[in-house]
Amino acid sequence: MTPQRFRTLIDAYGADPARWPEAERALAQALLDRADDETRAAWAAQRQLDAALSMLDAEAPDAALTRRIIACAPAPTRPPRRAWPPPRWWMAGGEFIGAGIAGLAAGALATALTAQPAGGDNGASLEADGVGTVFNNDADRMGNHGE
Amino acid sequence: MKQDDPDAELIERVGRRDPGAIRQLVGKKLPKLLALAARMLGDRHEANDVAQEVFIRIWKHAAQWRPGAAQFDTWVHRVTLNLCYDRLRQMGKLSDDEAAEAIDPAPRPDQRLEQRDLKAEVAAALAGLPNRQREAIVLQYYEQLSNGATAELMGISVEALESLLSRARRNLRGKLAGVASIHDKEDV
Repeated sequence: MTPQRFRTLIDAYGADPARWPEAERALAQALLDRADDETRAAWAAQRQLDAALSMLDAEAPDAALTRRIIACAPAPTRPPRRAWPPPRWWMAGGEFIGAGIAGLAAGALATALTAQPAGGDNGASLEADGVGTVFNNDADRMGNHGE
Repeated sequence: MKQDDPDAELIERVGRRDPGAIRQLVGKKLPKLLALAARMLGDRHEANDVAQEVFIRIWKHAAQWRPGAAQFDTWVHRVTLNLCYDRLRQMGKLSDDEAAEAIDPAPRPDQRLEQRDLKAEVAAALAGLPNRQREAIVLQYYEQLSNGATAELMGISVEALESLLSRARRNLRGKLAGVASIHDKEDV
């Protein structure tokens, strides 16, 4: 550690050895301990500046700011709610029976709709036979009138 | 090799939206971030806005935060400083450092007489520094970052940092020269 380096150090980091680069701290402290008057005067001037800077203490954040910041944070995630209640064992039998009835009804309806009349044209479709579908009205509402 | 990030576990919890972690992070980081912004901007109201904006970014990115790329503190400091520079630009206070250095740093005697509040005088001296010099002082002196961390954050070498700090402190001493009470206080 040269006196010149010591001056560079205190000019940049101030007089407090705790703020000096760790790698040079011990050598700089040793130099300060045996410093001449000129070096000590330079160190004292930096100490005055450190004292002035230390007056500028930071104000604590106010509670309103803290609240605003926490309010901006994303809300905690919750486990998704089930759309359906969990199955209950005592309902299972009834549900199976209900599902069976519904299946039978659907099968009967499908058979009735798809069965061809005796002697009919097998290639005819519902639409070609003039049987309306729910989509026709939708097509009208969407403005498909020109076809 | 990067050191383990002391904030990694806390940020990971914030990313999972843990309310306790969110409060803990605000309690831990807000005072320092606010102080950094206030010293950079010299305006408490603006500093509050910057601090809030920093946290909004933290909330946004916490879930994607991956330790190892950079220390969380380094990232937060950089975000805060960038937002401060945006504000300074909006306030018309972002000027060329060399031009700012050319200004006579010492207030006139009549101005000096009007400045009775010593703390306000120090604040004014700090606020009057060129921005990069103020940034260096705030990070090294007030935030007490190491010279390596400060240099990395500012994107300069340690040698360049030392030069910047020397100029900053020389400017500050010039601005505060003749403030008798500072010298009296120190001489005790």
